[in-house]
Amino acid sequence: MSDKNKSKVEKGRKMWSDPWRYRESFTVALLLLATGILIELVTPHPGVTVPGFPANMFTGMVFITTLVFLHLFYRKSPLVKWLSGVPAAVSSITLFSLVALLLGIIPQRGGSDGIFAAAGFTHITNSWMIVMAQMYVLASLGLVTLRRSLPLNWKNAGFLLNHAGLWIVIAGASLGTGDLQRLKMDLHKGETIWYGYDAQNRTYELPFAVRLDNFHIEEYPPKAGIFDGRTGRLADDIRGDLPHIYEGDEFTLPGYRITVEKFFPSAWPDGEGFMQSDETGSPPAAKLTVTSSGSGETYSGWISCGSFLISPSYIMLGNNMVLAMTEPQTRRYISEVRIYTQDDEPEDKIIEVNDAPRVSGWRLYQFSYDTSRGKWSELSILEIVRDPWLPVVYTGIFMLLAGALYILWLGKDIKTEKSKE
Amino acid sequence: MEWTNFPFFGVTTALLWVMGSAIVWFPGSGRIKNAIPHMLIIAGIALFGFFLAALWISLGRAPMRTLGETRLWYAFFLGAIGYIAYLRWRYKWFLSYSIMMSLVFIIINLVFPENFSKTLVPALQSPWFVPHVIVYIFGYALLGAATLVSVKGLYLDYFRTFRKSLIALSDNLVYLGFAFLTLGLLFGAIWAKEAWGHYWTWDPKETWAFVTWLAYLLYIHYRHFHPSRVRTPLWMLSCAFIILLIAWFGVNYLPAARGSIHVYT
Ligand code: HEM
Repeated sequence: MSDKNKSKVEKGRKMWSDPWRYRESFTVALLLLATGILIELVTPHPGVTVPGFPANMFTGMVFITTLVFLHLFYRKSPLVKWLSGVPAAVSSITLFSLVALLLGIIPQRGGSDGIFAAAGFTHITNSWMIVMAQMYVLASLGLVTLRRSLPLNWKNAGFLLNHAGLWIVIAGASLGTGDLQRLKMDLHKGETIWYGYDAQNRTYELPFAVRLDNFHIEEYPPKAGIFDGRTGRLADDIRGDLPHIYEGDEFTLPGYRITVEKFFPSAWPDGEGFMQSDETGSPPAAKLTVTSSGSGETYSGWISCGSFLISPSYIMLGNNMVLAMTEPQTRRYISEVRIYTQDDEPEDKIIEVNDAPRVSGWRLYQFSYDTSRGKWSELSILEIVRDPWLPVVYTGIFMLLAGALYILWLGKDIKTEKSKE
Repeated sequence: MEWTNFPFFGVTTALLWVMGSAIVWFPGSGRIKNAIPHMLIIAGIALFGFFLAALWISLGRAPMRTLGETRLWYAFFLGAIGYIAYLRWRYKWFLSYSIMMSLVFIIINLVFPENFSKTLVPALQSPWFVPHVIVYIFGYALLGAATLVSVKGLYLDYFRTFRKSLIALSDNLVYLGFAFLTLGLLFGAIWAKEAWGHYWTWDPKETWAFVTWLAYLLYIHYRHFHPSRVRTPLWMLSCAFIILLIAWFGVNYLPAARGSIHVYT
């Protein structure tokens, strides 16, 4: 039957008669969405709290067992056939997209009220809506995976990697939130801390302890720019990136030639100028010679961006314009810590952004510091994360990666093989 | 090896690639005519690869920190992937298209060398940054091409001169683009785990990237199930690209995106 005739049949056909196609599938999707909103409205507690181990594991097992059972014993039933077919897949993916789209449009904030919030629209990530959408996708995706991937052979490999991989990622990530722990740890220099606290400020004892030995910030060299002294705004005629300040360097800013005579990354005021210093609160400072390209006039002086102890210094250029130093940008945040665990010797580690060490099932991330003191902060705040389901999700992610490579390689051939059939 | 050597390597590679991808289109065949493009393109890849390796060694770190450095990798991978795809499917247009994209990045690096010293905030200093961005850009480029095809398809369909081969072309582009999108999404998730502690937080940028991915997933399944329908999938493609554009640039302007960690302005 050609597609044209099919759709004629579709039009004349009674709703809910076998086989279910798009009309039924999308109706089911809408009913699920409405059910999600309804549950949200009638239950007093907003959203879904995924249970922790072992209840989440158990839920997953029941779901998988049900799908396998349906596949083994009711494969020929209209319901299973429909759920493992494309119309159900298309409508479940559409429902999931719709919920995600709402999430991408509506600002999410916990604790707001009104009917909108009560229906779940302001906490979509843990609403019954998203649970319904995910269950529909998982049921459809699970059944088609079982139907199409078994018996296992090379021809099914790509299909299996993509569909089972996605199933594992969605199921593992959702059930895993039940056991996911994200805590903060405030480390003051020299103190040994063995507990973390969560968003509600509840404290939790940890199987390890951390002592902050040192916190420091590495910076890029500061930049020089011409600013309006009254507004603090960058001069209008400056285009692109400002020049970095390096000792001995020469650069131009509109209307001026500038030579860097001296540059101290860390300096303390000394009479008219600055001298090298390692004191807490020492800002960078540079001695510049400035030549106006119009008049040929030459100024000389020090600039510094200042710190929480020292006020900034500029060179006045006339016309209310000043030559000033911008605050250096951060290159690295580094916490040097000593970690104590129950079984092993204490270990010295470095924690920085994008380099989070693993300790007793937790990962330790550099999160923040005392921003009012900047690089002289004596406080480092860590975010620590425990996610025992991560191996499950990563299994799925690596299957999907392999599946994507399979598509890259076979791309078109998936189609041509099909059309040859 | 230093940046000052880049004009030589960049220009020579560009010339080799342009000649190679042009000769592919010339009429005629024969063993020599067929071999020349391969030799030129491989020579370009080798030369550019040599420059990258030498730069890496002389800097003592991966040259992936600055924007200029990431553009080097774009340029390299676009050329290399275009060539691999050509080896695999013999798509001449794909080879030319990737090489043109690659030239854009080489030219930017030649014309704006001052960007080389740009600083990178610590979160971006990750080995996942470059592959994540490269595969996304590549995926976007392919899906952009698929959208052009779909618009042409809708135009022809309107005048009833639509040909089947056109949608086959958009299928191919979508399959390739979708695979790159998948890689980009997953690299992003792994990177987020390394940098921020969780692989998925439903941040607005992530959410929109995910919806984009689902939109192309819908197209793939719909096409698979209804090989002879064309109008609906062509419209799906155009809509999917609008979502893609919102995910790429538009997210910054959405009310839901206030405070997103991925909005760099
Ligand atoms: C990583 C994500 C996915 C990819 C790359 C993918 C890819 C594909 C491809 C290429 C086909 C057709 C080729 C073949 O038959 O081998 C297919 C078929 C199918 N997919 Fe997916 N898919 C994905 C996710 C999903 C999801 C989320 C669902 C359901 C909710 C789904 C349901 C189906 C169904 C029902 C078929 C038709 C199977 C048949 O009866 O032949 N897929 N998929």
